[in-house]
Amino acid sequence: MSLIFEQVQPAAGTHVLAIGVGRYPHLLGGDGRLAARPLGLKQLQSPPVSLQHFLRWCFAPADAAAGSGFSNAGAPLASVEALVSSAQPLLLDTPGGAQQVDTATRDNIQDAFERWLQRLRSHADNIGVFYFCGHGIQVSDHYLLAEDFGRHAGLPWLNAFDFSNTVRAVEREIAGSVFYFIDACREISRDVAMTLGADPHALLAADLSRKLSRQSQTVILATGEGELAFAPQGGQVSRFTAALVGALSGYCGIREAGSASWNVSGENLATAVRSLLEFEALLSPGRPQVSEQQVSGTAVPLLRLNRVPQVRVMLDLAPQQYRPRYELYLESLKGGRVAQSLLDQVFRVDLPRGFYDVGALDPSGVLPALLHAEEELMPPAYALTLRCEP
Amino acid sequence: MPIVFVHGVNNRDGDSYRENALSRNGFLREVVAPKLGLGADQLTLISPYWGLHGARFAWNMAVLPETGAGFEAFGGDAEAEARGRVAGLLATSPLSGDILADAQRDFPAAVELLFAAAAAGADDENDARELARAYLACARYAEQNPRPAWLAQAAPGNFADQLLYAAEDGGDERFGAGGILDRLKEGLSRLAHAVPDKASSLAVRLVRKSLNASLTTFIGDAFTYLARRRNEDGSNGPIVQVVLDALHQAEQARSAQDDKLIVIAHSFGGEIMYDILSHFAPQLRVDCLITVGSQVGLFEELKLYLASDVQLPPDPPQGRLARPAAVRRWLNVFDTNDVLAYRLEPVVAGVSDFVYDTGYSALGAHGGYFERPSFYRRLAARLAQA
Amino acid sequence: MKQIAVRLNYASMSQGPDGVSATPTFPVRLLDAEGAVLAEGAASVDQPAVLQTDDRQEQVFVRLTWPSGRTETQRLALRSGEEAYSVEFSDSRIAANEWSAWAIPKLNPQTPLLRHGSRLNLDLELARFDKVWLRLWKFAGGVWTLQPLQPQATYRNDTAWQLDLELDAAAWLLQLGGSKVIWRFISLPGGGPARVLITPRDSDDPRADALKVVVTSHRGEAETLLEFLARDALRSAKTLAGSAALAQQLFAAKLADPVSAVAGAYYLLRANPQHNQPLDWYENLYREFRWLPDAAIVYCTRMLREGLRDAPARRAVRKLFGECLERGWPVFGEGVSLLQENAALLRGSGKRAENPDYARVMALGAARAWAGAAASFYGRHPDEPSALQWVGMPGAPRRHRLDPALRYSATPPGRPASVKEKTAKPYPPAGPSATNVDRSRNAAEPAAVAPADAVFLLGSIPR
Repeated sequence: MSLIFEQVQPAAGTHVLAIGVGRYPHLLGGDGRLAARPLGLKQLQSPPVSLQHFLRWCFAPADAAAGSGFSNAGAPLASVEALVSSAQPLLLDTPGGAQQVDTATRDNIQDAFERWLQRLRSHADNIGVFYFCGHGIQVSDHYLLAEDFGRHAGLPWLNAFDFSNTVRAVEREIAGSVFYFIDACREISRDVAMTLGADPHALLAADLSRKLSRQSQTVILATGEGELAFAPQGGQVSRFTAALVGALSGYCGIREAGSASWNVSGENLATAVRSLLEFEALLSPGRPQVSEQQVSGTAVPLLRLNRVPQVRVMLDLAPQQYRPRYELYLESLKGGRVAQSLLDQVFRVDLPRGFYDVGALDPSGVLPALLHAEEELMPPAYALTLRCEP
Repeated sequence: MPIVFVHGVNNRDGDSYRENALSRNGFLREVVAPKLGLGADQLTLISPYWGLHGARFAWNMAVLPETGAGFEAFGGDAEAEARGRVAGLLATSPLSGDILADAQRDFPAAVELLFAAAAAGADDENDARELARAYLACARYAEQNPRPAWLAQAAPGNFADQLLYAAEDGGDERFGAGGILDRLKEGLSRLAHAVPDKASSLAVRLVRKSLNASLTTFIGDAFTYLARRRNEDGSNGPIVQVVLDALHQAEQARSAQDDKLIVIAHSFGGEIMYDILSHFAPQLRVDCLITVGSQVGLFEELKLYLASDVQLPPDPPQGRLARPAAVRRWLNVFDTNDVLAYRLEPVVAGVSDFVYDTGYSALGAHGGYFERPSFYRRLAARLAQA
Repeated sequence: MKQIAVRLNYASMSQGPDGVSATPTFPVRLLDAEGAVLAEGAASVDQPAVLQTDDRQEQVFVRLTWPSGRTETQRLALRSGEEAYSVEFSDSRIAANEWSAWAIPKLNPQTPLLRHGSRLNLDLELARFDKVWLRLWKFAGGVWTLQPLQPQATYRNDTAWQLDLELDAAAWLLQLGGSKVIWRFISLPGGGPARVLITPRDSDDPRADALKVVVTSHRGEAETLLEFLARDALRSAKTLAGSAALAQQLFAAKLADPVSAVAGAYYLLRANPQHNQPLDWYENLYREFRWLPDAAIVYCTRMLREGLRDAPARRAVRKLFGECLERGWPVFGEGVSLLQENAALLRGSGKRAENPDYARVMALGAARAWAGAAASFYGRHPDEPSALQWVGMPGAPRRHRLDPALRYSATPPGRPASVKEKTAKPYPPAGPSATNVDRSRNAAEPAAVAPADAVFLLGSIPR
């Protein structure tokens, strides 16, 4: 059982398929027979946790002040299928209570994918969301590994699937839009390049007799080609999923001319995810991870939000010895002002997007006033260091 | 802190068959530097090249018994050179090159061979450093677990995976393997290629030719050096000058926090260094001199240095020569199988002879110190001892 | 209603070589204080964008967006009773040298080429790239051959080098490399003047190359459109294209300028799958310009996306795909993506191992490098794109690999790169050979050996 939510919509709806694979019995550290070529891959703690994080966002209340969830009046949430493989049995939080779901074996992924695709086909304006977190490998195409990868020594690639070709096939099957979020490595492995038959099937074969029919398609990949994706140690949400859910939770959106809502479409979502990964890197430097996207077609919004998108602001002042002598402030050109007075710390605050005067004042009037006038705070994040040169 | 590396003979065309300088630098940084209290990044490595001024052979060593068959059998690109190195390494090693069988007999030795085969192809110093770090973890693991349970079930395709997995220590979780495994797999593939060579004796001939060529170059370099270490006008000869320049450059690199100068001299480089420290620049302070596979003692027995004095010491063989005053510490490393390496303790006082014995055959021992990862580890351990 | 005319005073950016002028066109948006879009349009040097808003707004913000993502915003107070306003964006403060101004909108927003506003404080040390070499390849008669690189003009300042070339109608590749610069190819548009600007890395993206290369052939609108596409900035591309009108216009003028026509076609294929031009437009472009690989690629893609109803259609498109590869590599990076898409769809199940065309495209895909809108890839020879990376002089290629994790730790911040260079210095080339190893032999190129005069060193460009 993998359908954890279903609400039949009278018109278009949004259908989610979310997969998290942390347990790989045939890879290093697994409890099954080790694959003949495990490709150096081992058990992952983050994917089940990241999957849950993503699903919680799906079900969170819309337009909430903090951590708002899925919201799209044009295509409300219609179904959620989830598969998870983790070391310990895991109950997923759903609107109907905690539920146990099937494991993410290749067969289960295939079945869930086919049901998801069938639902997507049911209306011309349906939106599909495909989320995967687990092991991945890039050859010329991007392959994703199911739980039972490596089970058969003779056909080691049987339990993986070719994600790139799946995308190419789906765009000929549906009239609506799809968003793919792939939180997996895209490392080019020597072992794979050398293994004959490294040629897993797609979840669907492309039917060349069909015309390209989708409206829009967005693929956001956790990392660039040949690069790794990361999660902090100890079973935490991965960097990419954290950035993705962060952007989706009200830290992204554009209001077009004539539109009543703030819309999140593939392009601005991809930009926001990238910015959040960069922003996080400012906070905790490490090996950089840069997401990548492929956006095609007309801009169809995944979310339609009523609340003005928020911006994570990080305002600092250098040199640091002057920081405690200043008041750091942001003043909206619409009205309203926030400030941090005489504290020796970075000023962190969440503000609605828009234009602000950003500056610093010395209440005693000794140090010079600093001002960046009419700065545009664009979601998801804004970082500025004011420089004081007395 | 600067380390100056003074090469020995063999650093001519074909040198790449015996040693990979990038790999050497990587291991010096990651394995040796920390034992000297240095961060790998802070280490300044200077490698003067004096081979240009060494012996020239008018007939291109046509006098060697085995011309023709040899190095060129491996072709000329970087990977072919790496394969040549590994073939030489394997031919002189006591291991078979079947990594699983080797590991079941002697796990630490197999780990060493695997990393040596991987390091033989390092084409970037950072690559070599990454390998060196992984080597330290794996070597430690292999010593502590000489018979790990997984080894009995391991397959050739997953031996390296399991070794790295067992030896690794934390860090961020990543949804992929990381590059080090690919390096090890390349090493395995080089070993696999080398095994038939070992059987067919091509590699043995190769190594023999290499040893012959080494000996010949060695003799040539020694003659050239002795004849030309001073120019006719009494100024420093070109080889001396190249090495001296590097030493002065290293002196410049000393800083208040890091004021130590370490010199590693391989083979004939040791004789050059001894001549410099005893005659050309006796005031040059060297905090640690490490001679590796060197013949300093033999040349002193023959009284071939500029500072040599047949009257000194007055009472051989009991007496010893004094260590050059500016040399604080002197370590002389040799492999007992290395026919070109000599002890030094009987000749110079205040020197520690340090035997590095790997069981590799005489054919490969002389050139092989710097291509074996354990050499750096043992050297580092020795340096760390007060 | 209030009307705001947004003018572009980009004199230096419009300047091409003698007799050539480009008309850079950029999207502009009118925003309210919350950043909501009130109106949008495209402004060029010739034609202002005219944006309208209702009378309720008291203040608006006019934002200009460059392909690099950099924006420039001006605030405008609206007064009651006053209907017409004008806003001007000027490039007078943009670049230190007029000749490099054109490239700035395509480079990192923080590029040191910017006279003002660069937050990076880099010592670019251009001299360290003096030994970086360039070679020019032309695709003619089915093979890539080296051509002498003889620029019409060259330029150099503290941050960049620039070359002006005149190229005839063919597929062209510029190749560059050096002892620390990975060998790579960048497609140059044939059939007219081309200008290439080279500048040291300006970003900390782990994939960024040591030298960044940007190309223009002075096709302002078409190129800007593709620069936006290359960055997946579809909204800006759409604003620019004015709901496909510009793209159609570029496409329709194909006889005058086929390179702009393929740019228009790429946009239409990417952004407006539902409103594509008739198949025969693509077919004409493909038939008229046999030298242009992109013309075959867009036609092949268009056919595949139409759906192949029967066996003859499938045969025809397979043949067309083969032809795409017989014309050399595409001018634009978008063409590489479409080649990959087409190859994957056409290879059929179970046949991929035997399909050499498929293998070539996949090799190209795996070897892809970034040069904005231009196609770019790594490798030693144009015929063999390769994910393996090479460095060194043309006669002495060496394998290169750099682990991103170490790229940052190897040189501690504040330490000049030259120190590291010194410590990692390899031995100089050996003297007379003691063995029979022939190093020059490996350097031989698969097809042609470079004549000495075909190597052009960056250091030879005078200030």
